[in-house]
Amino acid sequence: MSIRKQYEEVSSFFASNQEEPQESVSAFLATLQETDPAALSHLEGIEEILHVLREWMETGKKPEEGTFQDLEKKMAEILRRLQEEETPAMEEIDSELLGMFLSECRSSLQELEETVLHLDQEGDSENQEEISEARRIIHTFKGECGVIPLPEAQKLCHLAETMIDKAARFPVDPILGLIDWLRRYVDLLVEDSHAPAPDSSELRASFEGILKEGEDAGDSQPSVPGAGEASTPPPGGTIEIEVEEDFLENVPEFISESLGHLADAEAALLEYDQGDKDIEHINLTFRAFHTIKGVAGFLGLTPIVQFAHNTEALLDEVRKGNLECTSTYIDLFLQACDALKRLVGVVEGNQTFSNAELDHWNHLLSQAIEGKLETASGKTAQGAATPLPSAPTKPSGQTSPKKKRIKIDTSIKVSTRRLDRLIDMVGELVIAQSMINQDPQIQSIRTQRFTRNLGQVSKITRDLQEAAMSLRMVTLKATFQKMVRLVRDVAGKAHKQVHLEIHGEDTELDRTVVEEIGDPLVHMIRNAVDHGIETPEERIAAGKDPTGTLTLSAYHQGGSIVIEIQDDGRGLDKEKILAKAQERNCLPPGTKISELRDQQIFNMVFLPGFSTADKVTDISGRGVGMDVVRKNIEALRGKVEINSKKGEGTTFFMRLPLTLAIIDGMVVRIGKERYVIPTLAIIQSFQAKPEHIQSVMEKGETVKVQGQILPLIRLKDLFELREGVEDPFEGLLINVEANNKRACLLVDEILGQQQVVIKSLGKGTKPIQGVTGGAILGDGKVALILDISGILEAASANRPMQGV
Amino acid sequence: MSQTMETTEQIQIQKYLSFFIQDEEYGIEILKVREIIGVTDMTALPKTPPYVKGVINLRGRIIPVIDLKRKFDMGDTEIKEESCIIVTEIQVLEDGDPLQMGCLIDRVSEVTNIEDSKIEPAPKFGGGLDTSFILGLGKTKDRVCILLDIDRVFQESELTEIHSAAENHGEA
Repeated sequence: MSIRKQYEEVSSFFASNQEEPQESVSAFLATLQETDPAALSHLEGIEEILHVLREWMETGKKPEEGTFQDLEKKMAEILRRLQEEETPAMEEIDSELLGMFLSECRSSLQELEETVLHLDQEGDSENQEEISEARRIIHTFKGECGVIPLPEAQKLCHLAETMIDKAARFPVDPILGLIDWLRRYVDLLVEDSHAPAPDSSELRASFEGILKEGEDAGDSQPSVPGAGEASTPPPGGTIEIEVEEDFLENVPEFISESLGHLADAEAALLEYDQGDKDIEHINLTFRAFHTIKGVAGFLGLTPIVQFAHNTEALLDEVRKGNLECTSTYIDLFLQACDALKRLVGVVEGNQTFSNAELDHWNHLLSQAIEGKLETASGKTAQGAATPLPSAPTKPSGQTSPKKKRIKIDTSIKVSTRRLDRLIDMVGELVIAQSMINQDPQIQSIRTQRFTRNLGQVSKITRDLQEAAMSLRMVTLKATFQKMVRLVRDVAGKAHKQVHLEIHGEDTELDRTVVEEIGDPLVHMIRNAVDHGIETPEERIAAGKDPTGTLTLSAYHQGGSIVIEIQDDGRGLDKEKILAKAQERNCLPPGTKISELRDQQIFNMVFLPGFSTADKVTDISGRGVGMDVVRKNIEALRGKVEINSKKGEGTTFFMRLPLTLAIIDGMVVRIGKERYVIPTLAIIQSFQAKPEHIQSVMEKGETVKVQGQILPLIRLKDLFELREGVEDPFEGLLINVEANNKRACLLVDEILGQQQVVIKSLGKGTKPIQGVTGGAILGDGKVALILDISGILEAASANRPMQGV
Repeated sequence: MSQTMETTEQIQIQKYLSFFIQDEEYGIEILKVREIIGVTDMTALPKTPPYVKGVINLRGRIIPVIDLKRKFDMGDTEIKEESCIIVTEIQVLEDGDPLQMGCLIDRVSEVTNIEDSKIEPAPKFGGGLDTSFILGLGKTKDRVCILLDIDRVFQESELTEIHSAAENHGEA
């Protein structure tokens, strides 16, 4: 028996205020003696308790009333702590459940945050609809946390729920705090499913503050709309479960979830009945009913709540061991599952349930709790048997025509791995199809029917490819929504008034791009609020609206996506940037300042360690931000540009590819091998003339292009290929750029330009410097995609490529 | 199921795919074999060991191919009519994609049943002959088949990152 259990016994014994010490006390003392003192040392006051207990045991004299009560309080305190400590260890976290929970909770937190921020923005805390929405999400969260179990999170959600009910105004900040806390916790859980919950004392304090205020105000508002007025259905007739308009869209989810829970419960009960007497099965059933009750309560589906509650109460008795779980009970529970299924069916509008039946059930269940099932068991069999056969059959004509049928929109979750495989296969199909189309033998067939069929196949293939690609696309909505919160927080910290406008949040991008875009966006928005937008006083002095406007928009432009961040702040100061650049020697030697274009000056803010902020704040200004932004965006094969006008504001443009999976590439040949060079890295290609080439000390070679002297890189040597042109005048030179470095690559010839799907060379292949991956070309063969920055690095290090 | 673990009277029989490299017969557990394909064009990978023949496109997936003959220091495989690539597959991580690798060989022979009791450990030859890839020598009615530990070949092909991670990333 664990210490906690014994402790519980001892403390309940204390509470009962007995005269004589009992066995439980002596057992407890014995356990404690065996326990390592170090394990108990953190339990303040335990020494004293032990001392008093021992004395009592030995002398048989009950301690004085004052000491006794004092002791009792202390015991309660220690018990609470012990419980807190032990809960995570005692209750095994269900990893499957946790996985499901973690994968879903981010989006629900997102949703909650959106709602809360909207409430905050509107300034209309009386907006019942949204408050209920927020409450619903927190409630669901609480339920889920309880099931997993994550007790700390569950408690906090519970507190938050109470707080929303009690508080006069919607408590925006504490709820945002809760969201943050939950996010942190979720992050921890992702790393380690047994991670302890982060510190929540601050959060609790803020909750309690609000709760107190609410209580002081004296009027506790009625909780959920609908739940309070438990209207007892009129006797006789069939039950009608009306769903409030507001919750209509939540109902389908409820129905499918409930049916899922019930199916799980049923399976567990059957297993239990078949001899696997694991109490966990009963627990699972309990949780199923409990979850259904919770959600139904929120949706105001009173009969379901009642029913689920009664069943749950009975299950709880069984679970605690107060009732012996015989197969009679199992039968009852199974029938309860069926009944609840039908009740849920009533909501959907395709089942009926009579009031009498519901009453009968409620009666039956409450009797069972009192342990009278044995006598009632005969009745159960009859009682359940009589109404059941008649009830489930749909009474024809009886169903009222006004009843709304709720459509259940089905969706399934698919792992990204399977999705990628599908996309791979479709890509392959497209290649195979084009190979057939280009086959000379096929092309010699000239019947009309064949041509038509072939055309049909191409069309379907194209559609299929499009559909497959669209599977990976997600909207920017979630990412943009995060920025709303960010702007609010940063503006608050920097004492600025900022209004964020969002456009084009429905623009779709490849999932991977969307994931990667978050960080750079955060940096840029932070910068815009902290440095770009002035304080209200400055703005008024400049004759502007004291509230600054930040516009975040996304749109398509020529096959890529542009994300624009525009502020109406002070704009970039060209002189300041130039001065800073000179101070830091960032300017390339020989640059004439007067010749620099605005664009070039603005781009200097992307140089590493460059910051024009006069002081470093805790928000930004250390000069790492913009450098990281550019690196991140370039890693996504995107580009970033700045436009600014002093006093009027700054605009950042991020141009991103729609997807990371496809790039525009130039296919080149060296010997027999073909390589793909990303078009983005290519500046120009040209035929070398003798005056271009200059060798240096007979080892290095340089090429003079557009007034610049660039190194000549022979891919043939770099890759140690056997074939390929030696003479630069026979091949082609390609001027490439990456990381602000340029060079010329010598290739045999350019075969063409095309879009290729980037594939990894497989997990079984070590990374090769200078190669980012492979692409399958139109003939089904593999060509390697070159990593220009890797090649430039290898070449400038003046050593052969690092091989595997 | 291709797997046969006939437990009648506790005789363990495994199925092996046997193939030839020159005149020697080798075997790979059939469970590790994904498919056998004809030799297709291979794209060379720069700066890889000579036994790495390159990469091929296996229905949209790019996988490396190694020349087993070269790997065993028996010279280069000459590609002939009967040459083929055995695509092997091992599960590295429980939830990850399986790792696939092609093995270029001279000729596929057959699928044979070999009792576990008929497998003898590889003898120590000494003299620099590395037998670490050899699971054992399987005896069938009339001949002896060299059973390969394909996981080992995978790991020591110096292609895999698993290997480099295991070896404390000795080289950069």
